[in-house]
Amino acid sequence: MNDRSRWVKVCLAVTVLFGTACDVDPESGETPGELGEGVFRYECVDGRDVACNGSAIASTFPTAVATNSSFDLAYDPFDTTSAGSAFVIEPVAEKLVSPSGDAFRAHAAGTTAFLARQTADGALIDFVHLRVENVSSLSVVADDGSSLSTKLTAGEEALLVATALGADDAALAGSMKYTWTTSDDAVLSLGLVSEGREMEIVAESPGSAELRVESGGVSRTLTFTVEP
Amino acid sequence: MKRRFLLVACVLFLGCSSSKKSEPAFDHFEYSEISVAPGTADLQEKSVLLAEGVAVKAVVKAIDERGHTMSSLDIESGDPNVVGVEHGPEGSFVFYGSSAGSTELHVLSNETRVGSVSAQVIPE
Repeated sequence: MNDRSRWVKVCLAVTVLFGTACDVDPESGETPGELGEGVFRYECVDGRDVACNGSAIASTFPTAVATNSSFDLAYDPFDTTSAGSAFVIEPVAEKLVSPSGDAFRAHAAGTTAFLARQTADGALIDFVHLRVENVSSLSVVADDGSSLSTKLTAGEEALLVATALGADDAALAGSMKYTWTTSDDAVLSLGLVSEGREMEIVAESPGSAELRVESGGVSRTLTFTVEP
Repeated sequence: MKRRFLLVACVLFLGCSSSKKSEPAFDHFEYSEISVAPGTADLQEKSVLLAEGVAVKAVVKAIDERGHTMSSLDIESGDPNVVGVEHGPEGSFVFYGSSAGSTELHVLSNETRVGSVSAQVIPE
Protein backbone atom coordinates (compact mmCIF):
# COMPACT_ATOMS: atom_id res chain seq x y z
CA MET A 1 0.00 0.00 0.00
CA ASN A 2 1.52 3.34 -1.01
CA ASP A 3 1.32 6.53 1.07
CA ARG A 4 -1.60 8.00 -0.86
CA SER A 5 -3.63 4.80 -0.54
CA ARG A 6 -2.91 4.69 3.19
CA TRP A 7 -3.92 8.32 3.56
CA VAL A 8 -7.22 7.73 1.75
CA LYS A 9 -8.04 4.77 3.98
CA VAL A 10 -7.42 6.93 7.04
CA CYS A 11 -9.54 9.59 5.38
CA LEU A 12 -12.36 7.09 4.77
CA ALA A 13 -12.18 5.97 8.41
CA VAL A 14 -12.47 9.59 9.55
CA THR A 15 -15.46 10.03 7.26
CA VAL A 16 -17.15 6.94 8.71
CA LEU A 17 -16.38 7.81 12.31
CA PHE A 18 -17.11 11.51 12.28
CA GLY A 19 -19.39 11.91 9.28
CA THR A 20 -17.26 14.63 7.77
CA ALA A 21 -16.47 14.87 4.11
CA CYS A 22 -12.86 14.03 3.30
CA ASP A 23 -12.13 14.41 -0.40
CA VAL A 24 -8.79 13.41 -1.85
CA ASP A 25 -8.40 16.60 -3.80
CA PRO A 26 -11.37 18.95 -3.46
CA GLU A 27 -10.00 21.17 -6.21
CA SER A 28 -10.02 18.49 -8.90
CA GLY A 29 -13.48 16.94 -8.65
CA GLU A 30 -12.10 13.77 -7.09
CA THR A 31 -13.50 11.58 -4.38
CA PRO A 32 -11.97 8.43 -2.90
CA GLY A 33 -13.34 5.08 -4.02
CA GLU A 34 -15.10 3.24 -1.22
CA LEU A 35 -12.65 0.34 -1.43
CA GLY A 36 -9.78 2.78 -0.98
CA GLU A 37 -7.95 1.67 -4.11
CA GLY A 38 -8.06 4.97 -6.00
CA VAL A 39 -10.10 8.06 -6.81
CA PHE A 40 -13.15 8.71 -8.97
CA ARG A 41 -13.17 11.93 -10.96
CA TYR A 42 -16.31 13.70 -12.17
CA GLU A 43 -16.14 15.03 -15.72
CA CYS A 44 -18.56 17.24 -17.62
CA VAL A 45 -19.71 16.36 -21.12
CA ASP A 46 -20.19 20.02 -22.12
CA GLY A 47 -20.33 23.55 -20.79
CA ARG A 48 -23.91 23.27 -19.55
CA ASP A 49 -22.91 21.37 -16.40
CA VAL A 50 -22.82 23.61 -13.33
CA ALA A 51 -20.24 21.30 -11.72
CA CYS A 52 -17.47 22.31 -14.10
CA ASN A 53 -17.98 26.02 -14.55
CA GLY A 54 -17.00 25.89 -18.21
CA SER A 55 -14.10 23.49 -17.65
CA ALA A 56 -14.04 19.77 -18.52
CA ILE A 57 -13.37 18.58 -14.97
CA ALA A 58 -15.50 19.45 -11.97
CA SER A 59 -14.13 21.73 -9.29
CA THR A 60 -15.57 19.36 -6.66
CA PHE A 61 -17.11 15.90 -6.85
CA PRO A 62 -20.87 16.62 -6.85
CA THR A 63 -23.20 15.32 -4.18
CA ALA A 64 -26.01 14.82 -6.70
CA VAL A 65 -26.78 14.95 -10.40
CA ALA A 66 -30.09 15.89 -11.98
CA THR A 67 -32.43 13.41 -13.61
CA ASN A 68 -32.31 13.59 -17.41
CA SER A 69 -28.78 14.95 -17.29
CA SER A 70 -25.52 13.62 -18.72
CA PHE A 71 -22.12 13.35 -17.09
CA ASP A 72 -19.00 11.20 -17.06
CA LEU A 73 -16.76 9.54 -14.48
CA ALA A 74 -13.12 8.49 -14.62
CA TYR A 75 -11.05 6.40 -12.25
CA ASP A 76 -7.40 6.64 -11.22
CA PRO A 77 -5.93 3.86 -9.07
CA PHE A 78 -3.24 4.59 -6.52
CA ASP A 79 -1.21 1.59 -7.59
CA THR A 80 -1.25 0.92 -11.32
CA THR A 81 1.11 -2.04 -10.98
CA SER A 82 -1.52 -4.11 -9.18
CA ALA A 83 -4.75 -2.50 -10.37
CA GLY A 84 -3.76 -1.82 -13.98
CA SER A 85 -4.28 1.46 -15.76
CA ALA A 86 -7.34 0.95 -17.98
CA PHE A 87 -10.78 0.86 -16.42
CA VAL A 88 -14.38 0.67 -17.41
CA ILE A 89 -16.95 2.24 -15.11
CA GLU A 90 -20.46 0.83 -14.95
CA PRO A 91 -23.52 1.87 -12.94
CA VAL A 92 -25.05 -0.81 -10.70
CA ALA A 93 -28.69 0.18 -11.23
CA GLU A 94 -29.29 0.94 -14.91
CA LYS A 95 -32.84 1.94 -14.06
CA LEU A 96 -31.32 5.03 -12.44
CA VAL A 97 -28.26 5.67 -14.61
CA SER A 98 -27.21 3.99 -17.85
CA PRO A 99 -24.25 4.30 -20.18
CA SER A 100 -24.94 6.68 -23.05
CA GLY A 101 -22.24 6.87 -25.67
CA ASP A 102 -19.02 7.70 -23.87
CA ALA A 103 -20.86 9.13 -20.86
CA PHE A 104 -23.75 8.38 -18.49
CA ARG A 105 -27.38 9.43 -18.56
CA ALA A 106 -29.39 9.80 -15.33
CA HIS A 107 -32.96 8.56 -15.72
CA ALA A 108 -34.59 8.44 -12.30
CA ALA A 109 -34.08 9.71 -8.77
CA GLY A 110 -32.19 7.48 -6.35
CA THR A 111 -28.67 6.46 -5.43
CA THR A 112 -26.53 4.10 -7.45
CA ALA A 113 -23.04 2.77 -7.09
CA PHE A 114 -20.59 2.92 -9.97
CA LEU A 115 -18.14 0.03 -10.26
CA ALA A 116 -14.62 0.53 -11.61
CA ARG A 117 -13.42 -2.63 -13.36
CA GLN A 118 -10.15 -3.50 -14.98
CA THR A 119 -10.64 -3.42 -18.72
CA ALA A 120 -8.38 -6.45 -19.15
CA ASP A 121 -10.20 -9.01 -17.01
CA GLY A 122 -13.28 -7.26 -15.63
CA ALA A 123 -12.05 -7.52 -12.04
CA LEU A 124 -13.79 -5.17 -9.62
CA ILE A 125 -11.31 -2.63 -8.27
CA ASP A 126 -13.38 0.02 -6.54
CA PHE A 127 -16.79 1.69 -6.34
CA VAL A 128 -18.45 4.98 -5.47
CA HIS A 129 -22.06 6.07 -4.93
CA LEU A 130 -23.73 9.04 -6.59
CA ARG A 131 -27.23 10.39 -5.92
CA VAL A 132 -29.64 11.32 -8.70
CA GLU A 133 -32.24 13.95 -7.83
CA ASN A 134 -35.23 15.42 -9.58
CA VAL A 135 -34.97 19.13 -10.33
CA SER A 136 -37.12 20.98 -7.79
CA SER A 137 -36.63 24.53 -8.98
CA LEU A 138 -34.52 26.79 -11.17
CA SER A 139 -32.58 29.78 -9.96
CA VAL A 140 -31.90 32.65 -12.34
CA VAL A 141 -29.30 35.25 -11.45
CA ALA A 142 -27.13 37.79 -13.22
CA ASP A 143 -23.94 36.26 -14.63
CA ASP A 144 -21.84 37.99 -11.97
CA GLY A 145 -23.87 36.19 -9.31
CA SER A 146 -25.73 39.29 -8.18
CA SER A 147 -29.48 39.30 -7.70
CA LEU A 148 -31.47 39.97 -10.78
CA SER A 149 -33.12 43.29 -11.57
CA THR A 150 -36.33 42.85 -13.52
CA LYS A 151 -36.46 46.54 -14.41
CA LEU A 152 -34.47 47.44 -17.51
CA THR A 153 -34.02 50.52 -19.59
CA ALA A 154 -34.67 50.29 -23.32
CA GLY A 155 -31.44 49.32 -25.06
CA GLU A 156 -30.02 47.68 -21.95
CA GLU A 157 -28.62 44.15 -22.13
CA ALA A 158 -28.15 41.63 -19.37
CA LEU A 159 -26.56 38.20 -19.15
CA LEU A 160 -28.46 35.69 -17.03
CA VAL A 161 -27.48 32.28 -15.68
CA ALA A 162 -29.94 29.55 -14.76
CA THR A 163 -29.14 26.70 -12.38
CA ALA A 164 -31.11 23.53 -11.63
CA LEU A 165 -31.65 23.06 -7.90
CA GLY A 166 -32.54 20.00 -5.85
CA ALA A 167 -34.94 19.72 -2.94
CA ASP A 168 -32.42 21.29 -0.55
CA ASP A 169 -31.79 24.20 -2.95
CA ALA A 170 -28.31 22.89 -3.76
CA ALA A 171 -27.20 23.03 -7.39
CA LEU A 172 -27.52 19.72 -9.25
CA ALA A 173 -24.68 18.58 -11.48
CA GLY A 174 -25.14 17.13 -14.95
CA SER A 175 -25.48 18.57 -18.41
CA MET A 176 -29.08 19.50 -19.22
CA LYS A 177 -30.89 21.39 -21.91
CA TYR A 178 -32.26 24.82 -20.95
CA THR A 179 -35.05 26.26 -23.08
CA TRP A 180 -35.44 30.04 -22.98
CA THR A 181 -38.48 31.90 -24.37
CA THR A 182 -39.84 35.41 -24.18
CA SER A 183 -43.51 36.36 -24.34
CA ASP A 184 -42.91 39.51 -26.42
CA ASP A 185 -39.84 39.87 -28.64
CA ALA A 186 -40.67 43.49 -29.29
CA VAL A 187 -40.21 44.29 -25.57
CA LEU A 188 -37.63 41.75 -24.47
CA SER A 189 -35.62 39.69 -26.94
CA LEU A 190 -33.16 36.85 -26.53
CA GLY A 191 -29.62 37.77 -27.53
CA LEU A 192 -28.31 34.20 -27.89
CA VAL A 193 -29.41 31.12 -29.75
CA SER A 194 -28.62 28.72 -26.94
CA GLU A 195 -29.85 25.76 -24.97
CA GLY A 196 -27.33 26.41 -22.26
CA ARG A 197 -27.51 27.86 -18.77
CA GLU A 198 -26.59 31.34 -19.95
CA MET A 199 -28.87 33.70 -21.84
CA GLU A 200 -28.43 37.29 -22.92
CA ILE A 201 -31.59 39.40 -22.87
CA VAL A 202 -32.07 42.72 -24.65
CA ALA A 203 -34.57 45.36 -23.55
CA GLU A 204 -36.00 46.43 -26.93
CA SER A 205 -38.80 48.88 -26.13
CA PRO A 206 -40.93 50.00 -23.18
CA GLY A 207 -43.47 47.52 -21.92
CA SER A 208 -43.71 44.31 -19.98
CA ALA A 209 -42.69 40.81 -21.04
CA GLU A 210 -42.24 37.41 -19.44
CA LEU A 211 -39.00 35.49 -19.70
CA ARG A 212 -39.41 31.75 -19.24
CA VAL A 213 -36.68 29.16 -18.76
CA GLU A 214 -37.40 25.45 -18.64
CA SER A 215 -35.11 22.56 -17.70
CA GLY A 216 -35.54 19.15 -16.13
CA GLY A 217 -39.31 19.38 -16.32
CA VAL A 218 -39.35 22.53 -14.19
CA SER A 219 -39.85 26.10 -15.37
CA ARG A 220 -39.25 29.55 -13.94
CA THR A 221 -40.95 32.68 -15.23
CA LEU A 222 -39.71 36.21 -14.60
CA THR A 223 -41.66 39.34 -15.52
CA PHE A 224 -39.47 42.15 -16.86
CA THR A 225 -40.48 45.77 -17.15
CA VAL A 226 -38.67 47.82 -19.77
CA GLU A 227 -38.70 51.57 -19.20
CA PRO A 228 -37.95 54.27 -21.77
CA MET B 1 -11.30 -69.32 -0.07
CA LYS B 2 -13.71 -67.36 -2.21
CA ARG B 3 -15.96 -66.68 0.78
CA ARG B 4 -12.99 -65.50 2.82
CA PHE B 5 -11.93 -63.11 0.03
CA LEU B 6 -15.42 -61.67 -0.19
CA LEU B 7 -15.57 -61.24 3.59
CA VAL B 8 -12.23 -59.37 3.62
CA ALA B 9 -13.31 -57.19 0.71
CA CYS B 10 -16.57 -56.38 2.45
CA VAL B 11 -14.83 -55.49 5.72
CA LEU B 12 -12.36 -53.31 3.88
CA PHE B 13 -15.16 -51.56 1.98
CA LEU B 14 -17.22 -50.91 5.08
CA GLY B 15 -14.11 -49.83 6.95
CA CYS B 16 -13.25 -47.31 4.29
CA SER B 17 -16.82 -46.07 4.11
CA SER B 18 -17.16 -45.61 7.84
CA SER B 19 -13.78 -43.89 8.13
CA LYS B 20 -14.75 -41.31 5.47
CA LYS B 21 -15.96 -38.25 7.38
CA SER B 22 -18.76 -36.21 5.82
CA GLU B 23 -18.05 -32.44 5.55
CA PRO B 24 -20.15 -30.38 7.97
CA ALA B 25 -22.80 -28.33 6.22
CA PHE B 26 -22.79 -24.55 5.85
CA ASP B 27 -24.76 -22.85 8.59
CA HIS B 28 -24.41 -19.06 8.38
CA PHE B 29 -22.30 -16.05 7.40
CA GLU B 30 -20.34 -13.80 9.72
CA TYR B 31 -19.40 -10.30 8.52
CA SER B 32 -16.78 -7.78 9.54
CA GLU B 33 -15.35 -4.54 8.17
CA ILE B 34 -18.69 -3.63 6.57
CA SER B 35 -18.52 -0.42 4.56
CA VAL B 36 -20.99 2.39 5.10
CA ALA B 37 -23.74 2.32 2.48
CA PRO B 38 -25.95 5.29 1.59
CA GLY B 39 -29.09 3.16 1.73
CA THR B 40 -30.41 -0.20 2.87
CA ALA B 41 -27.64 -2.80 3.14
CA ASP B 42 -28.65 -5.38 5.72
CA LEU B 43 -26.20 -8.28 5.85
CA GLN B 44 -27.67 -11.00 8.06
CA GLU B 45 -26.39 -14.47 8.96
CA LYS B 46 -28.71 -16.19 6.50
CA SER B 47 -29.98 -13.39 4.30
CA VAL B 48 -28.89 -10.27 2.45
CA LEU B 49 -31.14 -7.28 1.88
CA LEU B 50 -30.04 -4.40 -0.36
CA ALA B 51 -31.64 -1.32 -1.83
CA GLU B 52 -31.49 -1.05 -5.60
CA GLY B 53 -28.25 0.65 -6.61
CA VAL B 54 -26.48 0.20 -3.28
CA ALA B 55 -23.11 -1.52 -3.00
CA VAL B 56 -21.50 -2.66 0.23
CA LYS B 57 -18.17 -4.27 1.03
CA ALA B 58 -17.67 -6.77 3.84
CA VAL B 59 -15.21 -9.39 4.90
CA VAL B 60 -17.29 -12.58 5.00
CA LYS B 61 -16.76 -15.88 6.81
CA ALA B 62 -18.87 -18.95 6.16
CA ILE B 63 -19.48 -20.86 9.39
CA ASP B 64 -20.35 -24.54 9.32
CA GLU B 65 -22.82 -26.35 11.57
CA ARG B 66 -20.02 -27.14 14.02
CA GLY B 67 -19.11 -23.47 14.34
CA HIS B 68 -15.94 -23.70 12.32
CA THR B 69 -14.90 -21.32 9.53
CA MET B 70 -15.19 -22.97 6.13
CA SER B 71 -12.14 -22.70 3.91
CA SER B 72 -11.75 -21.20 0.43
CA LEU B 73 -15.02 -19.33 0.45
CA ASP B 74 -16.66 -18.15 -2.71
CA ILE B 75 -20.12 -16.70 -3.18
CA GLU B 76 -22.13 -16.76 -6.40
CA SER B 77 -25.34 -14.95 -7.18
CA GLY B 78 -28.27 -17.03 -8.36
CA ASP B 79 -29.34 -14.08 -10.50
CA PRO B 80 -26.70 -11.39 -11.21
CA ASN B 81 -29.43 -9.20 -12.69
CA VAL B 82 -30.83 -8.88 -9.15
CA VAL B 83 -27.79 -9.09 -6.87
CA GLY B 84 -24.15 -8.93 -7.80
CA VAL B 85 -21.43 -10.35 -5.57
CA GLU B 86 -17.76 -10.16 -6.39
CA HIS B 87 -14.41 -10.45 -4.70
CA GLY B 88 -13.10 -7.21 -3.22
CA PRO B 89 -9.66 -6.42 -1.84
CA GLU B 90 -8.05 -8.31 1.03
CA GLY B 91 -10.48 -11.22 1.20
CA SER B 92 -13.61 -9.08 1.14
CA PHE B 93 -16.71 -9.39 -0.98
CA VAL B 94 -18.76 -6.60 -2.58
CA PHE B 95 -22.53 -7.08 -2.74
CA TYR B 96 -24.67 -4.78 -4.89
CA GLY B 97 -28.33 -4.49 -5.77
CA SER B 98 -28.83 -4.26 -9.52
CA SER B 99 -32.62 -4.40 -9.72
CA ALA B 100 -35.53 -5.17 -7.42
CA GLY B 101 -36.24 -8.85 -6.90
CA SER B 102 -35.23 -11.96 -4.98
CA THR B 103 -32.68 -14.68 -5.52
CA GLU B 104 -30.20 -16.83 -3.62
CA LEU B 105 -26.51 -16.46 -2.95
CA HIS B 106 -24.78 -19.80 -3.36
CA VAL B 107 -22.02 -20.56 -0.86
CA LEU B 108 -19.01 -22.48 -2.16
CA SER B 109 -16.22 -23.95 -0.09
CA ASN B 110 -13.27 -25.45 -1.93
CA GLU B 111 -15.23 -24.99 -5.16
CA THR B 112 -18.09 -27.14 -3.87
CA ARG B 113 -21.54 -25.71 -3.28
CA VAL B 114 -22.25 -26.14 0.43
CA GLY B 115 -25.36 -24.03 0.93
CA SER B 116 -27.14 -20.82 0.13
CA VAL B 117 -28.68 -17.74 1.72
CA SER B 118 -31.59 -15.67 0.49
CA ALA B 119 -30.99 -12.29 -1.14
CA GLN B 120 -33.50 -9.56 -1.80
CA VAL B 121 -33.22 -6.18 -3.53
CA ILE B 122 -35.85 -3.61 -2.72
CA PRO B 123 -36.72 -0.61 -4.89
CA GLU B 124 -34.91 2.63 -4.12
